[in-house]
Amino acid sequence: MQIILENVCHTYMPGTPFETRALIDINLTIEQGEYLAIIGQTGSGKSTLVQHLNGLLKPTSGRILVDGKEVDKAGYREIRRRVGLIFQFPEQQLFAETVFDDVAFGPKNLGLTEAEVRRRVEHAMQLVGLDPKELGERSPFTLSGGQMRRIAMAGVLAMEPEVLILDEPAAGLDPRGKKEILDQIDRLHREEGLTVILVSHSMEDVASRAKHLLVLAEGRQKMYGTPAEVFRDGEELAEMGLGLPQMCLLMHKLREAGKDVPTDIFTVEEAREAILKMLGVQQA
Amino acid sequence: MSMFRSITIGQYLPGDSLLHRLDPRAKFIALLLLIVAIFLVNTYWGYLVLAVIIAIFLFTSGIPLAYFFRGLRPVYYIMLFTLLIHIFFTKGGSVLLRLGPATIDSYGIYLGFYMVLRIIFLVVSTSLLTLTTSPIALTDALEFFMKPLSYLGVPAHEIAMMMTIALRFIPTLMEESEKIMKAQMARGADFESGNIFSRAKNLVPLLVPLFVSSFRRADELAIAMEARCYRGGKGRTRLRELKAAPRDFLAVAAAGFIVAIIAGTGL
Repeated sequence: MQIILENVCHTYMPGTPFETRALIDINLTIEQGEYLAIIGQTGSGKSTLVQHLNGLLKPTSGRILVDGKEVDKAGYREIRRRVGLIFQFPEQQLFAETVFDDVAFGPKNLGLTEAEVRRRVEHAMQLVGLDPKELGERSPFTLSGGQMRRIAMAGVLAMEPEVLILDEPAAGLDPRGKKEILDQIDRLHREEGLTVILVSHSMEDVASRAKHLLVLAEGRQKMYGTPAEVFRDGEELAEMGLGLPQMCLLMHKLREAGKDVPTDIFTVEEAREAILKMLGVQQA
Repeated sequence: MSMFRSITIGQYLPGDSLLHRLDPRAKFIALLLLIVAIFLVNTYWGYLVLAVIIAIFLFTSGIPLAYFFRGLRPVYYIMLFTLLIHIFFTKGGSVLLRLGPATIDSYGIYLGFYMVLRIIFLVVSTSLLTLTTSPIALTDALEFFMKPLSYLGVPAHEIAMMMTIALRFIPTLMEESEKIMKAQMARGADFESGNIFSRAKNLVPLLVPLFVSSFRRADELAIAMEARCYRGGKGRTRLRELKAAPRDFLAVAAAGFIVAIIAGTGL
């Protein structure tokens, strides 16, 4: 599915002293198969933006087109089925007595048969790397934080959405847990063909994974493009309080020092190759 | 989904008017005196005097007038009911209208509007306090007034602390329930339709996570407080001492003066 945002604005509590303009004039096209990362500091409007994509928030002005059609009130249920949204700290939304029941909550709300619900729950749990037989009957509250987060993710995946939105999926995890979750999202994108929208404040996490980056600051769309395009302008990002990925920064510094290296480099492996090449060392 | 955003807790609107700066204790006492004055008023002339006084504060408080009228919204029906009861059932004065066995008397109309005005004055003057005083300042004042009770074994400080904590966490809990509600709606939950029983059942996915996180929060807060050596009210000093300034005594005296005038002149 394709989602288009046209001049979308959102204002919280309009007409009161607490009025806040959270989004200002956002124009964006999200194509089928996209892997988009939305980056910005706290309060830049990232979370507000993604809640528009599945109808939890309605734009104060502007419109949102899904497959060329504007979404109306009757369409919100349909949209929420097709666009899965995983909030920040999703483990806080667990409520059922067993892991199985919690993951099954979404599919059951879709009115599926019991056999289909079971199939989807088991499939979703496998997608996030959990064994349905081992954990299915346990209480979600007895599990570890990382497992709880995966179960909450499975709860959304079990709805079998076409678009998956994740709001800071790696927040509060240790480096290993973080990498595991992000790798899993990559796999969902690659193998299940999901359109992925990832919200993050960390350039490091998304630079090497996403196809496109959208940089938000104070509710406005500041930059949009491929990671290489966005990171070309390191200074502007720094002004917004967003740093470049470490390796990218290193390349920028080398370039300033007069070395001939490319700057669109985001991983340690790429950096190693580039530096070896610069030094003229032949790799075995 | 902005239902939670429209509720203002304790209604407090920050500002810098005279009313905002008064000591909450002085405001409390002055309000009590004002309420006494409202109940002592006998004539519409008395209301006029009060109306002028309250209007001065309304306009100088810097708070949009709409907020005061919003406070009246929940009592619309009570006002209407009061008015109708008096019009139809209070007898006296001249008969204005005869509808079969029922009559509408002039005194009924007089008293009906009189009572409605009383309700309006009570609500608006109470709003003057709640709109200009932060909930925390209100609890501080309450703790002060409860202090004598602690000699009788009433845990005055603890009660005030619990109220402060409860007030502090209301916005947090609201934010959290909004978030959980959205998360469950994203999974197809429906909080808006169905009969009362299915609605109650549909709240389970909201209430369970909310309770879980509240207990966790309470636990964390208790540890954080103990880590900073909190052990109840004994020997505890305050960061923000309530200090009464001359203007606070003046405010209370002025309120007392209004009561005296209303009572003395029989207005």
